[in-house]
Amino acid sequence: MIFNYLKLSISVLKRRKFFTFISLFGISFTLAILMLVISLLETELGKNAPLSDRENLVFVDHLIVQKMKPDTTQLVDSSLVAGIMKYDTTYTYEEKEVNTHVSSSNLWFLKEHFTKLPSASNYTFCTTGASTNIFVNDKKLNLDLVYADHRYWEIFDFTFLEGRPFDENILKSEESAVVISQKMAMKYFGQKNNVVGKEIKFPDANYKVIGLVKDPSQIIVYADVYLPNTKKIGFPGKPNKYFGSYWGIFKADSKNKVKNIKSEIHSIANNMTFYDPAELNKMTIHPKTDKELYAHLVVSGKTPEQSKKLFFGILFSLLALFALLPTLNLVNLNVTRIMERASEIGVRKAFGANRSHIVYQFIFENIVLTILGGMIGFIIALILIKLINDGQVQDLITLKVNFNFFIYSILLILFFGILSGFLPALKMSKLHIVNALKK
Amino acid sequence: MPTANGLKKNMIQINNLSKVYRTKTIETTALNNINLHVEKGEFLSIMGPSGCGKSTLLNIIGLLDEPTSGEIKIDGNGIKTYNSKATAKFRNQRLGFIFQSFHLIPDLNILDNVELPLIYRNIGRKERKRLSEAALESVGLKNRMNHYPAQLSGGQKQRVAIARAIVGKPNIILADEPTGNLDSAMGNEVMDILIDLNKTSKTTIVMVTHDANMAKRTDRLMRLYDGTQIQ
Ligand SMILES: Nc1ncnc2c1ncn2[C@@H]1O[C@H](COP(=O)(O)OP(=O)(O)OP(=O)(O)O)[C@@H](O)[C@H]1O
Ligand SMILES: [Mg+2]
Repeated sequence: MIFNYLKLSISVLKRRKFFTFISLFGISFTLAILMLVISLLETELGKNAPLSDRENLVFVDHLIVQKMKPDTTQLVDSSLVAGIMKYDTTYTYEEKEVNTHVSSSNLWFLKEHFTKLPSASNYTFCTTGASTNIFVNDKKLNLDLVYADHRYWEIFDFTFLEGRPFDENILKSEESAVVISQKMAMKYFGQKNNVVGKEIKFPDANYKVIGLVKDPSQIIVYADVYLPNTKKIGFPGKPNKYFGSYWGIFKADSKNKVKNIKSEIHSIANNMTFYDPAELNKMTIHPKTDKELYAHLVVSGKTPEQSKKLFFGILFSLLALFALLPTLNLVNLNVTRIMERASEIGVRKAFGANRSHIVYQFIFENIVLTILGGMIGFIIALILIKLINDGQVQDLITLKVNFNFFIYSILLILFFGILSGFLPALKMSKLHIVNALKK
Repeated sequence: MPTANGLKKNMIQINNLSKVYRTKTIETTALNNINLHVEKGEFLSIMGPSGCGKSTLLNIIGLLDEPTSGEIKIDGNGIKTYNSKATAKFRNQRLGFIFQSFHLIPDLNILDNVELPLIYRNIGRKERKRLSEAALESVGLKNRMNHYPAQLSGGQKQRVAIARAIVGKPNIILADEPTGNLDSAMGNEVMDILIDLNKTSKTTIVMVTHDANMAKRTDRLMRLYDGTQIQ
């Protein structure tokens, strides 16, 4: 049966060239774009190095510190009871905010409060790749710098092409050592390897390159240069301050400990002893998982969890909408095409086809068509990805083509094929034989 | 009923059958209280003016359409549902159709067209091919089996349609003006094949025709006028 459906599908596609061309054109471009989005999502959000452990990480990207003042509202309610006027007075005590500061943290502050979370098996305090103009070798270079501690390299599994990460001793001795990415090696030395041992001249000192890493593609960890956060140039900040440029990143042993870490962070914020309570006296922290972090960049819900729901809700709705239009188009095209084949349906039914035979036949045909379109789309997507990766269109991101990308693309193709084939097939299977044969 | 031996088994039995088409504006009585018995191996032709209900009757016998009232039995089986899988299977195994406008599937070659009824019977590929080639052989078109319908003449198309109708060895063949689109030479050729089929394999045939010469060659003639049986 399947072999027959396949044979028929191919012969139909061959004999109806115009229809086939139009359909394939639409399908392949739609799928190519969707595959590009899949690749982008997989690159940014997949469990790829150096973020292989991303699902077990909790991020403290900023603090909200406020000054609150107690406030009393008096509400008088009057009513006439048995001819006597009665007054009910309600007092509401609430905290009113006077002043709110939102910023990432001071390194000292993080070190003081966040080194002993019971559920965290590891942690790092670092900055995220902030773009900075820096005179290096008297040349102005726009560099993304990350200041990190030695644990950074335990939390994130960077691929070291040469050398090694900086360790605790280097941090303590405030040695001028850096790890650089391949892009930086290219930018600064004009070569992609053999850079360990060379020096980079920063405003404060000459830094020795001790490690070379493969360029990460994720925004959170992307940088040209990774410096020890004890160096002055790393803005370590001063004690007794809340704010600075640092994030706290905590690692749980397992996914279900992520919740515990979050609540431990909440409780630290709630039980904070403030440096100057007259100045600021309330702290709120929204610890986030990596997905919540991304979501929060785009939308702001009340809590990170809400942002995540909102963001992925919007994202998938948009994708669905984008896929829906060509699907409807294909449905329409299919209905027209199958209508032309009404007499075929009539004949098939007269000779013993039941409704499911007809539905299967047309869905199968459509899947064959979509798979063809999908393969073309896949090739288009690969070409587009190569163009994007090679060209300087997007300096930050190197799109990934991996196994997941492949699997998701196949699922996408099947989904698209079944969706756009089912409705027309169902409709046609209901066609009354006698009417179908009149056409 | 004027038949040769009265003990023969009824293949088609129709009692008090009516068909009314209702649209918003008008009601058409296409068939009015028809009673018809066709014996096994009989070749019946139906004649009558255009619009008198011939096709409607044939479609009802072929279980392609539902009567408004009345009863129909094929080979002793009373028919109650028309859209079910069981009816599709029944059609597949017992009935073969020949249409005035051939209704070959243009995307399939001749052999695949003829194989159609066997596909819904889940018969293996080799066996299907063997049976279909034999059917094509019997209508003299085995040499054309790799052609497509568009490459054949009208008469050849109708012979392919006959091969498709007989390939599954049905009990009944229903033909709606099988010679209607053909010139008399080709028409006679098709008629010869049908008569031969009726004689040699005792297939019951019901044929609608406008041509009195064709009708003469069959066992019995039924005349319809305005939905009513007049002979
Ligand atoms: N689907 C339908 N809806 C309404 N009326 C119909 C329908 N099909 C057939 N009729 C009517 O039923 C009557 C019988 O039609 P039928 O097709 O059986 O005639 P016929 O004898 O086969 O005619 P012809 O010789 O022209 O083929 C006609 O009056 C026709 O208009
Ligand atoms: Mg007719």
